Amino acid sequence: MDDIHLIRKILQGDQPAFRTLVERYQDYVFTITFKVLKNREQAEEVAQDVFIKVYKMLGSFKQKSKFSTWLYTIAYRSALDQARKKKIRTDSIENENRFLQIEDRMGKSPAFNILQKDLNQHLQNALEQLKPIDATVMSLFYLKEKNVQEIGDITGLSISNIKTKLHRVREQLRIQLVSNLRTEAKDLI
Amino acid sequence: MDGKKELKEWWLSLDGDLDPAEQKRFEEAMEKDIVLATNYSQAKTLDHALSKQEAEQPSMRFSKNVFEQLPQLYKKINIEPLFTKRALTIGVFAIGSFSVLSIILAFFLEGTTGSVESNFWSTYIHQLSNIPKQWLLTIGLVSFCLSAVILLDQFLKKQILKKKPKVAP
Repeated sequence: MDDIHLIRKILQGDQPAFRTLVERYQDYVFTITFKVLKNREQAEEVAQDVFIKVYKMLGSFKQKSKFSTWLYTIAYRSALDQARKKKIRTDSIENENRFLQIEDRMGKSPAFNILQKDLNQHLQNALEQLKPIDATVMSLFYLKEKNVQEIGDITGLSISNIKTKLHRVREQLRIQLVSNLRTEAKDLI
Repeated sequence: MDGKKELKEWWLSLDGDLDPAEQKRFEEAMEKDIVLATNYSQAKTLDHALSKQEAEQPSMRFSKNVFEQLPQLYKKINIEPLFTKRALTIGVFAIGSFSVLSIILAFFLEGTTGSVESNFWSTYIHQLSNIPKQWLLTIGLVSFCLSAVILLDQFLKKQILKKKPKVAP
Protein backbone atom coordinates (compact mmCIF):
# COMPACT_ATOMS: atom_id res chain seq x y z
CA MET A 1 0.00 0.00 0.00
CA ASP A 2 1.46 3.38 -0.95
CA ASP A 3 2.09 6.21 1.49
CA ILE A 4 -0.93 8.30 0.52
CA HIS A 5 -3.36 5.44 1.09
CA LEU A 6 -1.74 4.74 4.44
CA ILE A 7 -2.08 8.40 5.42
CA ARG A 8 -5.77 8.39 4.52
CA LYS A 9 -6.30 5.33 6.69
CA ILE A 10 -4.38 6.90 9.57
CA LEU A 11 -6.52 10.03 9.40
CA GLN A 12 -9.55 7.78 9.65
CA GLY A 13 -8.25 6.43 12.94
CA ASP A 14 -6.37 3.36 11.68
CA GLN A 15 -3.34 3.19 14.01
CA PRO A 16 -1.92 -0.06 12.59
CA ALA A 17 -1.49 1.85 9.33
CA PHE A 18 0.76 4.27 11.17
CA ARG A 19 2.81 1.36 12.47
CA THR A 20 3.37 0.31 8.84
CA LEU A 21 4.56 3.82 8.05
CA VAL A 22 6.91 3.88 11.04
CA GLU A 23 8.44 0.51 10.16
CA ARG A 24 8.84 1.58 6.56
CA TYR A 25 10.83 4.73 7.37
CA GLN A 26 12.36 4.24 10.81
CA ASP A 27 15.78 3.21 9.45
CA TYR A 28 16.13 6.22 7.18
CA VAL A 29 14.86 8.67 9.79
CA PHE A 30 17.21 7.23 12.38
CA THR A 31 20.10 7.40 9.91
CA ILE A 32 19.49 11.09 9.33
CA THR A 33 19.28 11.91 13.05
CA PHE A 34 22.31 9.74 13.81
CA LYS A 35 24.41 11.39 11.12
CA VAL A 36 23.67 14.76 12.68
CA LEU A 37 23.85 13.89 16.37
CA LYS A 38 26.54 11.16 16.31
CA ASN A 39 24.99 9.53 19.39
CA ARG A 40 22.66 6.52 19.15
CA GLU A 41 20.54 7.26 22.22
CA GLN A 42 19.99 10.89 21.33
CA ALA A 43 19.38 10.04 17.69
CA GLU A 44 16.79 7.43 18.63
CA GLU A 45 15.02 9.82 20.98
CA VAL A 46 14.86 12.51 18.30
CA ALA A 47 13.74 10.01 15.68
CA GLN A 48 10.88 8.89 17.95
CA ASP A 49 9.89 12.53 18.47
CA VAL A 50 9.92 13.03 14.71
CA PHE A 51 7.32 10.31 14.23
CA ILE A 52 5.15 11.72 17.02
CA LYS A 53 5.39 15.14 15.41
CA VAL A 54 4.55 13.73 12.00
CA TYR A 55 1.54 11.91 13.43
CA LYS A 56 0.21 15.15 14.89
CA MET A 57 0.86 17.09 11.67
CA LEU A 58 -0.41 14.45 9.28
CA GLY A 59 -3.62 16.32 8.62
CA SER A 60 -1.62 19.30 7.38
CA PHE A 61 0.46 17.33 4.87
CA LYS A 62 -0.51 18.98 1.59
CA GLN A 63 1.10 16.44 -0.76
CA LYS A 64 3.13 19.14 -2.49
CA SER A 65 6.11 16.78 -2.22
CA LYS A 66 6.55 13.08 -1.58
CA PHE A 67 5.74 11.99 1.95
CA SER A 68 9.29 10.68 2.40
CA THR A 69 10.77 14.07 1.48
CA TRP A 70 8.49 15.80 3.99
CA LEU A 71 9.34 13.25 6.69
CA TYR A 72 13.10 13.46 6.13
CA THR A 73 12.95 17.27 6.17
CA ILE A 74 11.31 17.18 9.60
CA ALA A 75 13.88 14.61 10.78
CA TYR A 76 16.81 16.68 9.54
CA ARG A 77 15.58 19.93 11.06
CA SER A 78 14.68 18.29 14.36
CA ALA A 79 18.13 16.74 14.57
CA LEU A 80 19.81 20.05 13.78
CA ASP A 81 17.74 21.80 16.46
CA GLN A 82 18.77 19.18 18.99
CA ALA A 83 22.41 19.47 17.93
CA ARG A 84 22.30 23.22 18.48
CA LYS A 85 20.72 22.79 21.91
CA LYS A 86 23.37 20.25 22.92
CA LYS A 87 26.05 22.36 21.24
CA ILE A 88 27.31 19.32 19.39
CA ARG A 89 30.27 20.04 17.17
CA THR A 90 31.99 17.77 14.75
CA ASP A 91 35.23 18.70 13.04
CA SER A 92 35.24 18.41 9.31
CA ILE A 93 37.34 15.78 7.61
CA GLU A 94 39.39 18.72 6.31
CA ASN A 95 40.88 18.94 9.81
CA GLU A 96 43.74 16.52 9.38
CA ASN A 97 44.82 16.50 13.04
CA ARG A 98 41.46 15.20 14.10
CA PHE A 99 41.68 12.46 11.54
CA LEU A 100 45.08 11.41 12.87
CA GLN A 101 43.55 10.96 16.30
CA ILE A 102 41.30 8.28 14.89
CA GLU A 103 44.36 6.35 13.84
CA ASP A 104 45.55 6.25 17.45
CA ARG A 105 42.31 4.64 18.59
CA MET A 106 42.20 1.97 16.01
CA GLY A 107 44.65 -0.59 17.29
CA LYS A 108 47.91 -1.39 18.98
CA SER A 109 50.09 -2.14 15.99
CA PRO A 110 49.96 -1.25 12.33
CA ALA A 111 49.98 -4.92 11.42
CA PHE A 112 47.04 -5.54 13.68
CA ASN A 113 45.28 -2.59 12.04
CA ILE A 114 45.77 -3.90 8.56
CA LEU A 115 44.48 -7.32 9.53
CA GLN A 116 41.47 -6.03 11.38
CA LYS A 117 40.56 -2.95 9.40
CA ASP A 118 39.94 -2.56 5.72
CA LEU A 119 38.74 0.24 3.51
CA ASN A 120 35.18 0.06 4.88
CA GLN A 121 36.33 0.48 8.46
CA HIS A 122 38.55 3.41 7.54
CA LEU A 123 35.64 4.82 5.64
CA GLN A 124 33.25 4.42 8.59
CA ASN A 125 35.67 6.20 10.87
CA ALA A 126 36.10 8.98 8.36
CA LEU A 127 32.37 9.39 7.82
CA GLU A 128 31.81 9.71 11.56
CA GLN A 129 34.06 12.72 11.56
CA LEU A 130 32.12 14.66 8.96
CA LYS A 131 30.15 17.77 9.83
CA PRO A 132 26.43 17.01 10.35
CA ILE A 133 25.42 18.70 7.11
CA ASP A 134 28.14 16.95 5.10
CA ALA A 135 27.33 13.59 6.69
CA THR A 136 23.61 13.98 6.00
CA VAL A 137 24.18 15.03 2.39
CA MET A 138 26.50 12.07 1.83
CA SER A 139 24.06 9.61 3.42
CA LEU A 140 21.08 10.94 1.53
CA PHE A 141 23.04 10.96 -1.74
CA TYR A 142 23.93 7.29 -1.49
CA LEU A 143 20.79 6.02 0.27
CA LYS A 144 18.46 7.96 -2.03
CA GLU A 145 20.27 6.69 -5.10
CA LYS A 146 21.82 10.02 -5.94
CA ASN A 147 18.68 12.15 -6.14
CA VAL A 148 20.16 15.62 -5.69
CA GLN A 149 16.86 17.47 -6.11
CA GLU A 150 15.35 15.58 -3.20
CA ILE A 151 18.39 16.26 -1.04
CA GLY A 152 17.93 19.95 -1.80
CA ASP A 153 14.29 19.77 -0.71
CA ILE A 154 15.23 18.07 2.56
CA THR A 155 18.21 20.18 3.55
CA GLY A 156 17.25 23.50 1.98
CA LEU A 157 20.57 23.64 0.11
CA SER A 158 20.80 24.53 -3.56
CA ILE A 159 21.69 21.82 -6.07
CA SER A 160 25.01 23.44 -6.93
CA ASN A 161 25.86 23.72 -3.23
CA ILE A 162 25.06 20.03 -2.72
CA LYS A 163 27.17 18.98 -5.68
CA THR A 164 30.08 21.11 -4.49
CA LYS A 165 29.85 19.59 -1.00
CA LEU A 166 29.71 16.08 -2.39
CA HIS A 167 32.71 16.64 -4.58
CA ARG A 168 34.73 18.33 -1.84
CA VAL A 169 33.96 15.77 0.85
CA ARG A 170 34.51 12.76 -1.38
CA GLU A 171 37.75 14.14 -2.71
CA GLN A 172 38.98 14.74 0.84
CA LEU A 173 37.92 11.21 1.77
CA ARG A 174 39.78 9.82 -1.20
CA ILE A 175 42.99 11.67 -0.38
CA GLN A 176 42.88 10.80 3.32
CA LEU A 177 42.05 7.13 2.81
CA VAL A 178 44.77 6.68 0.22
CA SER A 179 47.23 8.36 2.56
CA ASN A 180 46.24 6.20 5.55
CA LEU A 181 46.23 2.94 3.64
CA ARG A 182 49.66 3.72 2.22
CA THR A 183 50.95 4.51 5.70
CA GLU A 184 49.68 1.20 7.03
CA ALA A 185 51.12 -0.69 4.08
CA LYS A 186 54.53 0.93 4.66
CA ASP A 187 54.50 -0.06 8.35
CA LEU A 188 54.05 -3.66 7.37
CA ILE A 189 57.15 -3.70 5.23
CA MET B 1 27.08 23.00 -15.52
CA ASP B 2 28.25 26.18 -13.80
CA GLY B 3 31.22 25.74 -11.51
CA LYS B 4 32.38 22.55 -13.23
CA LYS B 5 35.94 23.81 -13.36
CA GLU B 6 36.17 23.63 -9.56
CA LEU B 7 35.10 20.01 -9.48
CA LYS B 8 37.28 17.03 -10.17
CA GLU B 9 36.58 15.37 -13.48
CA TRP B 10 36.60 11.85 -12.09
CA TRP B 11 33.71 12.67 -9.76
CA LEU B 12 31.82 14.41 -12.55
CA SER B 13 32.32 11.33 -14.70
CA LEU B 14 31.16 8.95 -11.95
CA ASP B 15 28.07 11.05 -11.26
CA GLY B 16 27.18 11.21 -14.96
CA ASP B 17 27.55 15.00 -15.06
CA LEU B 18 29.79 15.09 -18.13
CA ASP B 19 28.17 15.44 -21.53
CA PRO B 20 29.18 12.82 -24.15
CA ALA B 21 31.90 15.01 -25.66
CA GLU B 22 33.41 15.80 -22.27
CA GLN B 23 33.20 12.15 -21.24
CA LYS B 24 35.01 11.09 -24.38
CA ARG B 25 37.76 13.70 -23.81
CA PHE B 26 38.13 12.54 -20.22
CA GLU B 27 38.48 8.89 -21.26
CA GLU B 28 41.09 9.82 -23.84
CA ALA B 29 42.97 11.87 -21.24
CA MET B 30 42.96 8.89 -18.83
CA GLU B 31 44.57 6.70 -21.46
CA LYS B 32 47.50 9.09 -21.65
CA ASP B 33 47.75 10.17 -17.99
CA ILE B 34 48.39 7.42 -15.41
CA VAL B 35 47.84 9.76 -12.46
CA LEU B 36 44.42 10.73 -13.80
CA ALA B 37 43.56 7.08 -14.36
CA THR B 38 44.69 6.23 -10.81
CA ASN B 39 42.62 9.03 -9.32
CA TYR B 40 39.60 7.84 -11.27
CA SER B 41 40.13 4.27 -10.11
CA GLN B 42 40.44 5.34 -6.46
CA ALA B 43 37.36 7.53 -6.77
CA LYS B 44 35.41 4.66 -8.32
CA THR B 45 36.42 2.31 -5.50
CA LEU B 46 35.40 4.87 -2.92
CA ASP B 47 32.11 5.57 -4.71
CA HIS B 48 31.36 1.85 -4.75
CA ALA B 49 32.19 1.53 -1.03
CA LEU B 50 29.97 4.51 -0.22
CA SER B 51 27.10 3.07 -2.22
CA LYS B 52 27.31 -0.09 -0.10
CA GLN B 53 26.63 1.90 3.07
CA GLU B 54 23.39 0.80 4.65
CA ALA B 55 20.93 2.77 6.68
CA GLU B 56 21.48 2.73 10.42
CA GLN B 57 18.98 0.67 12.39
CA PRO B 58 17.38 1.80 15.63
CA SER B 59 16.74 -0.51 18.56
CA MET B 60 14.09 -3.24 18.51
CA ARG B 61 11.89 -1.21 20.84
CA PHE B 62 11.75 1.79 18.51
CA SER B 63 8.25 1.42 17.08
CA LYS B 64 6.89 0.28 20.44
CA ASN B 65 8.29 3.44 22.06
CA VAL B 66 6.69 5.57 19.36
CA PHE B 67 3.28 3.97 19.89
CA GLU B 68 3.44 4.35 23.64
CA GLN B 69 3.70 8.10 23.16
CA LEU B 70 1.10 8.51 20.41
CA PRO B 71 -1.80 10.76 21.35
CA GLN B 72 -5.36 9.68 20.53
CA LEU B 73 -5.92 12.11 17.72
CA TYR B 74 -7.83 10.49 14.95
CA LYS B 75 -11.18 8.75 15.26
CA LYS B 76 -12.79 6.60 12.64
CA ILE B 77 -15.08 8.74 10.51
CA ASN B 78 -18.24 7.03 9.33
CA ILE B 79 -18.37 7.55 5.63
CA GLU B 80 -20.89 4.84 4.92
CA PRO B 81 -24.21 6.08 3.58
CA LEU B 82 -27.05 6.48 6.08
CA PHE B 83 -29.33 4.19 4.14
CA THR B 84 -28.79 1.10 2.03
CA LYS B 85 -28.86 1.72 -1.69
CA ARG B 86 -32.18 -0.01 -2.27
CA ALA B 87 -33.99 1.66 0.64
CA LEU B 88 -32.54 5.01 -0.40
CA THR B 89 -33.66 4.59 -3.99
CA ILE B 90 -37.20 3.60 -3.00
CA GLY B 91 -37.41 6.33 -0.39
CA VAL B 92 -36.20 9.04 -2.75
CA PHE B 93 -38.51 7.83 -5.50
CA ALA B 94 -41.51 7.75 -3.17
CA ILE B 95 -40.79 11.18 -1.75
CA GLY B 96 -40.22 12.61 -5.19
CA SER B 97 -43.36 11.05 -6.62
CA PHE B 98 -45.49 12.25 -3.76
CA SER B 99 -44.18 15.76 -4.07
CA VAL B 100 -44.73 15.85 -7.86
CA LEU B 101 -48.21 14.37 -7.50
CA SER B 102 -49.09 16.79 -4.74
CA ILE B 103 -48.13 19.77 -6.83
CA ILE B 104 -49.94 18.51 -9.94
CA LEU B 105 -53.09 17.70 -8.02
CA ALA B 106 -52.92 21.02 -6.26
CA PHE B 107 -52.71 22.73 -9.65
CA PHE B 108 -55.45 20.74 -11.39
CA LEU B 109 -57.89 20.44 -8.49
CA GLU B 110 -57.96 24.12 -7.74
CA GLY B 111 -61.55 25.20 -7.44
CA THR B 112 -62.86 21.71 -7.87
CA THR B 113 -66.04 21.01 -5.97
CA GLY B 114 -68.48 18.20 -6.08
CA SER B 115 -69.94 15.37 -4.23
CA VAL B 116 -67.92 12.53 -2.89
CA GLU B 117 -68.29 9.38 -4.92
CA SER B 118 -68.10 5.96 -3.45
CA ASN B 119 -64.72 4.70 -4.75
CA PHE B 120 -61.46 5.20 -2.95
CA TRP B 121 -59.79 7.26 -5.65
CA SER B 122 -62.59 9.85 -5.81
CA THR B 123 -62.60 10.05 -2.03
CA TYR B 124 -58.86 10.53 -2.08
CA ILE B 125 -58.98 13.31 -4.67
CA HIS B 126 -61.85 14.99 -2.86
CA GLN B 127 -59.95 14.91 0.43
CA LEU B 128 -56.83 16.12 -1.33
CA SER B 129 -58.73 19.02 -2.80
CA ASN B 130 -59.77 20.04 0.72
CA ILE B 131 -56.17 20.43 1.74
CA PRO B 132 -55.07 24.01 1.39
CA LYS B 133 -52.96 24.43 -1.77
CA GLN B 134 -50.24 26.19 0.18
CA TRP B 135 -49.77 23.09 2.32
CA LEU B 136 -49.47 20.85 -0.74
CA LEU B 137 -46.95 23.21 -2.26
CA THR B 138 -44.99 23.32 0.99
CA ILE B 139 -45.01 19.51 1.26
CA GLY B 140 -43.85 19.30 -2.34
CA LEU B 141 -41.02 21.76 -1.83
CA VAL B 142 -39.87 20.13 1.41
CA SER B 143 -39.88 16.72 -0.33
CA PHE B 144 -37.74 18.01 -3.17
CA CYS B 145 -35.30 19.63 -0.75
CA LEU B 146 -35.04 16.44 1.31
CA SER B 147 -34.49 14.34 -1.81
CA ALA B 148 -31.81 16.77 -2.96
CA VAL B 149 -30.03 16.63 0.42
CA ILE B 150 -30.06 12.81 0.47
CA LEU B 151 -28.76 12.60 -3.10
CA LEU B 152 -26.11 15.24 -2.42
CA ASP B 153 -24.97 13.38 0.73
CA GLN B 154 -24.63 10.15 -1.22
CA PHE B 155 -22.84 11.88 -4.08
CA LEU B 156 -20.33 13.61 -1.82
CA LYS B 157 -19.56 10.42 0.14
CA LYS B 158 -18.97 8.59 -3.14
CA GLN B 159 -16.62 11.36 -4.22
CA ILE B 160 -14.64 11.08 -0.95
CA LEU B 161 -14.31 7.32 -1.39
CA LYS B 162 -13.34 7.62 -5.03
CA LYS B 163 -10.99 10.59 -4.69
CA LYS B 164 -7.45 9.77 -5.75
CA PRO B 165 -4.92 12.10 -4.14
CA LYS B 166 -2.53 13.90 -6.49
CA VAL B 167 1.11 13.36 -5.68
CA ALA B 168 3.68 15.92 -6.79
CA PRO B 169 6.16 14.57 -9.38
